[in-house]
Amino acid sequence: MAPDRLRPEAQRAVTVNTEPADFDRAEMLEQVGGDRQLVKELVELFLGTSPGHLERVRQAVAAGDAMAVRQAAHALKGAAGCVGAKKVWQVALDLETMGRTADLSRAADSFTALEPALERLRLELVRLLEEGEPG
Amino acid sequence: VKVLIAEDEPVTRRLLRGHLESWGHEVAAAPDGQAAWRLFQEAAYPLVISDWMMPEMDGLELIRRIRADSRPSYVYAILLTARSDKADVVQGMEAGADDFVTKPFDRDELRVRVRQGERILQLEHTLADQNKALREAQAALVQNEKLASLGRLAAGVAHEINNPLAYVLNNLAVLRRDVLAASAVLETYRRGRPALERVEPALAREAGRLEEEMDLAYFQQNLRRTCDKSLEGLQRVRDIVRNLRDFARLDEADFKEADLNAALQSALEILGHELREKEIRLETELQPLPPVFCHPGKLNQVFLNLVDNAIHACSPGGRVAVRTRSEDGRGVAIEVEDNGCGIRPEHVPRIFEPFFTTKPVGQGTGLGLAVSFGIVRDHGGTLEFESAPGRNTVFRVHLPLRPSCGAGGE
Repeated sequence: MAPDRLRPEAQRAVTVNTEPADFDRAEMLEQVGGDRQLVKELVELFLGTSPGHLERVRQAVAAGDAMAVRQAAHALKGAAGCVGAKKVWQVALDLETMGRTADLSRAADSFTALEPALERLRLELVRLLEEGEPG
Repeated sequence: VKVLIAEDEPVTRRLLRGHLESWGHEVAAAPDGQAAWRLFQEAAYPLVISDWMMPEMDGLELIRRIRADSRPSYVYAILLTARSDKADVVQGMEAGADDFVTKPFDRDELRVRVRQGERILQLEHTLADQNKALREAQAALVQNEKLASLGRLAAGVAHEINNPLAYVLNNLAVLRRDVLAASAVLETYRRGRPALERVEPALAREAGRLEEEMDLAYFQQNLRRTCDKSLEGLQRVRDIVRNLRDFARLDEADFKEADLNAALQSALEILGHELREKEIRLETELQPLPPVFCHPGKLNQVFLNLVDNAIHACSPGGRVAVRTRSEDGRGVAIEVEDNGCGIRPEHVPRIFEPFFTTKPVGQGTGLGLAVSFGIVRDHGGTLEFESAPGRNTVFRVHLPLRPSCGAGGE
């Protein structure tokens, strides 16, 4: 991987005309102490586990099960926090709070926001992995 | 440090493990509280980092169980939580958490909090060591003080007994001589008995009655033995009293330079027949020793006591090893080891007490080790022992080349 791929300027240049990216590659790399192998593993883990988290949130919201919403959102929030995904983290936190306070009146709206946010994040992470491939 | 992680979310778990391993910790990670608790019971983890919210057993319950499990050393527990309001902090700390890291956690924050935990564990460790050292020092002080006051008491008693004992011994010796002489005079008169019966029959009858009443024949027959036995008993009392005085204090005028290997050799010679009688194998390893300024006669007594005890502890055919070595110019060490019965743990605290003995009544005075302890102490040295009951016992004397000023004083 070329070193400038992870420089913030390079990253900002790509996303300048669209919505701001959900995560900051440079910050994430710094967070793991510059260990690119660990970044790769974490991203792969996130890509592997987040659909399950999302599915559990979906079912819990549909069933109106506050406790299940809280637990599923909590797990997704934790994972999102680890890859530095601020938007997904925030929406997951909102859902977790709704679950904890047993007020699911806005849960469906939040879930509607969560789904595309997560999808976008996943695409960004997939791109990060592809760029990270040697050659 | 060995760190136990409890975190159900795989990405977080992997990130935690990655961080901790990059800082050189040995990490075990569990996907939930139950698994973490199982791991914790199998091995010692000084540091536990646990997520709060987990299915089945949450972080609070895990930490509560860890606290309830009485481990010899402290476990530092960090709760990972997104919650940071006061009520949550109180709840977490009441469960036994030492610190919190809020999620999403920052690498640097986690690093300093883990390091803080290590620091506390280190402090706790140091404190535990110091506590142990203090307790041991206190026990040694109490023991020393106890022996010192026993020594003073014993010396006082010995002094009080010594005076009357001296004149009783003396008088008994005089009495023995005079009564034996008087008995000879009586015998001479008794040869005139037939003549007396003719001249003074009433007087002769009276004398005969008195003789029979006191069993004069038996008296004369046993007179010498009775006196000798009494003198022997008194001499034993005198030896005990003398030992008691030695236990208390040494006369510094009798100190001179001596080769302790020679003193040890002479003790071994004296006990030679006992060694042969029990067929005990004697191993000696006497390294050249610098001369030691000491009371040779008293140290001789110490060596005799230690080797004699070693022989007594052995079964027939056992082994006694005597070793000496120089301790780099500062002093010398003398070791007497036997592969005998050992010292039972309950006897350990009492072993240097005067009159404490495990030998059958009449066989030991219980003064040997007490006196030896006092003698070594008055040389500014130490007498210590290690024993594995049923396996072996080592008594070790450390002596300085010269008692420092004040040794032998209070």
